[in-house]
Amino acid sequence: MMRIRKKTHSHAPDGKLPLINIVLLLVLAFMMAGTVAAPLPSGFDPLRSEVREQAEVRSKPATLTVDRLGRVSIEGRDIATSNVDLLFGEISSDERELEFRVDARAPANSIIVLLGSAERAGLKDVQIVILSRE
Amino acid sequence: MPLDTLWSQRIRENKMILRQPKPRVFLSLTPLIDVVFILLIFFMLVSQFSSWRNIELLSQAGAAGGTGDEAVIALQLNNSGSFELDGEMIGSLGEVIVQLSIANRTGPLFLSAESTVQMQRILDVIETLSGAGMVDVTLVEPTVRATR
Repeated sequence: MMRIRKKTHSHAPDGKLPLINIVLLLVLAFMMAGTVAAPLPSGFDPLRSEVREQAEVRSKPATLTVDRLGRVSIEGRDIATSNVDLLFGEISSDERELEFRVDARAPANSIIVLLGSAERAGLKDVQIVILSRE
Repeated sequence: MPLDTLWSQRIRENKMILRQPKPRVFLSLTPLIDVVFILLIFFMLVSQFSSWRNIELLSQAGAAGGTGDEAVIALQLNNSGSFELDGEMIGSLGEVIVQLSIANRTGPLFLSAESTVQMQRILDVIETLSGAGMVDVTLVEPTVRATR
């Protein structure tokens, strides 16, 4: 008697399992090691320093971005130079703290003027965000 | 048909019914792989591995001011890359530090910059001065510098 062996289909896609494992591991690695942050403007070249001391870490400060031409924006919104004092006044009255994210090629004098304006508006201890060279 | 034959046929049929395989449900892994890939791409795009730090820079408006006992050192960065130490032109920052150390001056330093000096240059100078022991550096606005 001829016996026809029923073909056993393995529905588990064994070939795909290592791929799924590796991709899941990559997802976990990015989730754990990376910091989710708002993207920087395109072409932004951050300030770099070897400074090791870290100023006091704050929770949710207002982040002012200054691009290479000295243009100011806050949380993606462009701010006219004439409105900067008003903005600093609002941040000060909201009792928020301020940090600057400055392009390395930005004119130094514009940053110094902004720092002075911020401190005159009552914003003390304004911090500058730098990228560690380590 | 004899009864026992009929019974044995029924029993055989029942066995056949019992032996019929249940339909197996297989879950497709393709949507799972799609979602995982989308998650991977998302985390790859938004993750930052850079080591960011915050530093504080003092400006003229926020500076507490000198004690009065020490003379303020006025240092200006020129567009050409040279320096002016208390109005005297000096070629490099190394020479500035040597002159200050010879004069034993470590007092508050007011740092200003000409119009096209970039912020990174200011930070590099502050870093070098800090390494030489001059930590009391205040940035001075151009208007303040002009009235000094």
